[in-house]
Amino acid sequence: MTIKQVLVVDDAPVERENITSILLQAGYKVETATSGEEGLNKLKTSTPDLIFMDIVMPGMDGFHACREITNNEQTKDIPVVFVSSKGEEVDKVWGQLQGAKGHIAKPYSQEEILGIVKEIGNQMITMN
Amino acid sequence: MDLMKQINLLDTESVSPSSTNGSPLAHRYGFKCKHLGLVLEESCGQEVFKDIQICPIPLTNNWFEGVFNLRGSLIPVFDLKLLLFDEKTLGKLFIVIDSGKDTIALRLDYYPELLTEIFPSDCEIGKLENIAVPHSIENYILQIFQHQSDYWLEFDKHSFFTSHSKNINRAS
Repeated sequence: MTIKQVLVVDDAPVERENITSILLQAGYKVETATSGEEGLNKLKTSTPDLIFMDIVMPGMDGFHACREITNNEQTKDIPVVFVSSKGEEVDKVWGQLQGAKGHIAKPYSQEEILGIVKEIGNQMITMN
Repeated sequence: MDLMKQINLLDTESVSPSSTNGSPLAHRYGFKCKHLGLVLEESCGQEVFKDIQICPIPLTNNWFEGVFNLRGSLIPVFDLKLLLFDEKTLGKLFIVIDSGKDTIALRLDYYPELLTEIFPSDCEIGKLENIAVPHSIENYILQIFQHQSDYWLEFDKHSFFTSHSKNINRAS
């Protein structure tokens, strides 16, 4: 199984568009959501292969949304990668405890985004 | 001093209900306060920080460390181990729990733990083996959970800290 479709959850339009643009140019299908709640709602109707999740968002934050995703039988296998300005070690450890598969600190590069998509895709192939 | 009104802890309208449906839960998060395992509510916001800058408030009890600025909101910071066991928490980690006006931060010695396959227990608070539950928190226990061979307690943080906020002034 390879990664084809990605869900980007971020309340900041610029960040959403930036990650979306990087992924579209690389040939991935992209869906977006502006909050944790909207992200979870999207998962009721579609099953992305990967989720890029901001942490600090109004309403349900990224940690909470990730907990919901990894605690749900239907969505627990979808890898979540945090993309956040919260990039300290403590954030990465706490993110891992929420079940996240990766953490990219803002500002990020195109290589970092595509690199982690490839890395997680490779992990999924190995697991299958 | 009307400090607790300023930090909005005295409102008692939003006491959280216990999750007592009796079914096994996939996972929850908990932290240790000395020997006491305290489990966090599933739905509450949780964020962990290290080395936050706390502004101490004069003439308050030492278990109330002060307030810190979380993205523009002043959050009260408590040392729960000092409050319950008269023993200072030495760690530099802080967990911020809940959201909005109920948000508080607690100093921790270690990272919170991921508790997979945690089950509600029928055990009564007075019958817990090897766990001395301090009287000051006993009445606020909502539910006892079992994770492997350990017991974890879920407590009503809002009511607990609202009650203790009455004694926050050092003179009281």
